[in-house]
Amino acid sequence: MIRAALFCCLTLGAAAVAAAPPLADAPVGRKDYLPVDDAFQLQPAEWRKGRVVVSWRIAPGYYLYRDRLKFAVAQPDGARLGAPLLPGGESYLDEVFGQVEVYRTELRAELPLSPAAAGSLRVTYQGCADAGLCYPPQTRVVAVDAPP
Amino acid sequence: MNLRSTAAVALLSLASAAAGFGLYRWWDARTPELAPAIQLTDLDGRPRALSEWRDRLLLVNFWATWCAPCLKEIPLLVEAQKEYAARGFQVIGPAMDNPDAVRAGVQRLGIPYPVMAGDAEIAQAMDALGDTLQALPFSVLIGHDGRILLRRSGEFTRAELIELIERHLGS
Repeated sequence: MIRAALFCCLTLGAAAVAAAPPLADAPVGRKDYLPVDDAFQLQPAEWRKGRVVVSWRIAPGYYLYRDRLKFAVAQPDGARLGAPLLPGGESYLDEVFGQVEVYRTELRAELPLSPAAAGSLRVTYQGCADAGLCYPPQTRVVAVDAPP
Repeated sequence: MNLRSTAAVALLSLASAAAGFGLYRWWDARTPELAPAIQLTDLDGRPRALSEWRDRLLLVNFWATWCAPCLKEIPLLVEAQKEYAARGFQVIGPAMDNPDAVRAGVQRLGIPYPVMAGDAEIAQAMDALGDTLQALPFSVLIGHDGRILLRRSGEFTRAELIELIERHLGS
């Protein structure tokens, strides 16, 4: 008798736990999108041939817009940044915005900066997932150490 | 009571607790939560509360003019608003964007439903409605009783949207 009751309770418990969706709501139709900092992994700045290199690793299925990249000096005040040197991107026909240039997999931007102006840069970027989701423009402050 | 009976009673208690917890999770997961009280500012600067549409099947669609999937999805929402309004369906479109860009977008896209605009206010509303990505489009479907029926990151297809509306208007 006790064995039967035990069996029933265990079966009921296991079935109920298995049938319940996760407590943190699993919405119908939702794809598993990455958080923005995982989709676009901004790397520490480094010096290369007298320029500062700011780079991103871009997750598969995600892209950054070339024309939405912005770079400015955050510190020290008054320091000037030259025009960024950007690699050629992938030409992408956006259904809404038409022909645009995007970066996938990796992006390395080279920024002319005087070594005396090492401090920090303010970097703005915006991108989307191919599956139909866009992240708002992101602005990050990137430390730039003095060149070695 | 011998050792064997004591062990059996202990196991039975544990099994009952497991069953109870399982049933609690099952019940809890199937009882939609109430949408929080949220107030947003429309393009005329008027505060609009979600409770204004309490008696309707409400789709809150967060969007922006810089978001291509959002702009692609909006014609579907416009069509759904026109098609299902008489049956109690309502779309509203809070935009994470500046009001001037949103006004131009509303005109260009012919959006007939209420649109709000802002920055921090919209981000807070998304967060309060259960968004975890702060990315767009983000949609929340709220039932006639004010309970959240669905959260969705990313754009709808026409088939998904129509199936969803029919299912919840039909019930």
